[in-house]
Amino acid sequence: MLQSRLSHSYLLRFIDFPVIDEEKLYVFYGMLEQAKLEHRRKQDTLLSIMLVQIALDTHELISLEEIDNESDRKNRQLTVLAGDYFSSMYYHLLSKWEDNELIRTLSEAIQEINEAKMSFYQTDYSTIEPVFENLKEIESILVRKVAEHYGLSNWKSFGSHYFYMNRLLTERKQGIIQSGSFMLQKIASTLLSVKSAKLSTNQASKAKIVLDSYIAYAKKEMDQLLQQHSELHQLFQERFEYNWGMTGIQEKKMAEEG
Amino acid sequence: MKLKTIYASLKKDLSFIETELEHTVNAHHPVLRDASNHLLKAGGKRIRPVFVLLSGKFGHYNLPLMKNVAVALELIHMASLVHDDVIDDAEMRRGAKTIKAKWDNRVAMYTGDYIFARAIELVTELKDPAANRILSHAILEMSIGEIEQIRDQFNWDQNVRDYFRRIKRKTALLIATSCELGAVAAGASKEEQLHLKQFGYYVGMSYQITDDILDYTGTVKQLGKPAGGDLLQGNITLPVLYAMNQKNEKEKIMEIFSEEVHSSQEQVDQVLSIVKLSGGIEHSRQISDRYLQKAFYELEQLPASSARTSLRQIAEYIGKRKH
Repeated sequence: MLQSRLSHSYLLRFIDFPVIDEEKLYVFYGMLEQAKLEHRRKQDTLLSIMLVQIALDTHELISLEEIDNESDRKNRQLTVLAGDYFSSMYYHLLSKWEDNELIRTLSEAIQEINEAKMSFYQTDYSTIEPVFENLKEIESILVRKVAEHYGLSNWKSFGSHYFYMNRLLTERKQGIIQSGSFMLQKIASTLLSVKSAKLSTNQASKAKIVLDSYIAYAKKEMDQLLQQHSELHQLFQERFEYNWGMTGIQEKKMAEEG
Repeated sequence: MKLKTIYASLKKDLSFIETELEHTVNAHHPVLRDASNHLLKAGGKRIRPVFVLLSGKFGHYNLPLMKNVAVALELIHMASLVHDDVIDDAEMRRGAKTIKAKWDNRVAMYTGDYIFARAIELVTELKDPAANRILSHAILEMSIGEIEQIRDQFNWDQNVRDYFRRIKRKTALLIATSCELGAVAAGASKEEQLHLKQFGYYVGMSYQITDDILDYTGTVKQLGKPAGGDLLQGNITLPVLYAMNQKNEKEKIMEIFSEEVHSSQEQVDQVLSIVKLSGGIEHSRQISDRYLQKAFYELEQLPASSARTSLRQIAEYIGKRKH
């Protein structure tokens, strides 16, 4: 359903199909199951929340570099428009349900996320801790707002931490440090005072060690949260262990390095 | 008549809206706040808020309530401009550096998204659920219109119908929505809502056609750039579409652009001459005027009032403006 709504034939000629974050989809689905919405409404609500995330993620793809060829130019233009299109779709969908309250909640979330992203992007941090705190904030806002909206307090801290954990794992898995992702570049520049976009192997591996230590700490917190919330434990333990296993990280080794 | 003179009756209310616009984009993060204010301070005609307020005069005009719609419509327009400047890689707008030029693309994307979300939040303050339905439909169509504009760049097989559909989505719908939502917020009758919506639609069509004519006829001083900028980007508008429908002109125009994908100012200047000689400018003016007449007809269906007079004056200004 999500895929068919995202398809816009002309857009897909020039830009990749938007990445649907399955972990987020799974969490929001679980939350809406508890919110006890009627089936069709639940489907559209889930779709709207995911569209907000996809729109934000799509705009994150806009590069800073000068462009000198037609194909890249068109790709950038359509990536901007695709984000705007997905964003207008969430609004349109919820307005059909006359869900004024959720529209307000999601628009507040978008504002807060952009505040947090701007802070992450524009602040020259002197220590590493606030960099990770800011990253966690960016990942947490949407799930926290949705949990508050439906009065699902048990999902608030769990969802926030689950998204943060997955973000850290995704960054590591994709080896983004080496290719200079702006998020991880930020971590590296704070840690090592490196200003160039491309990190040396040595710099990348130092940054990775620090990232791994934060992952180890986040994993510990995740385990604790799953212990505290038995109802969520059942839903997420197996899934989380599987994702963790896929990273190939060994906790013992990480603890030694960290 | 100057726009300022027409706006005189709304001076106090518009000044309140201006202050509210500043308050509304008062973000916590200094860069987000500065970037949002940067475009706001560059000015603009504020046509959308004016249409909201004047349309509200046909119902129970309540400024604190009307302000939510007026501010929201201007912010949506602003957010789209911020993203348009990334799309067009534009350095200047309204005589000032664009956000993407003063900061960068990423700041522009965050600012546009922030402003857009702020606008939607404001509209949720209205009790009538129709407000969100109307606005969300317009915004969705607008984004499709923008995608179509990119799709149709340098597409010489497009026709006038494609052009009208595109400018309806790109411009006319948001102006129609400004009028309709002003009437909805003030609780005007359904009939009045419909006439005001239609009025806004016709004015919006005339406005965009005039804009497209000015791109061919304007001076560097008036436009802030050389004439033919639309064509340089591959945007084929009514004057050139008319010229292409004349005998042999389509072949001539296509030949000028046949050698390179990118268009140059020299190529554009050649097409400008063809368009002017073909009567494309005059024809476009007639079409723009026809839309204005339809807009006036819609106004005549509404009760006579000073608001109706002002709407007519604004429409006339739009049809005759030079920049």
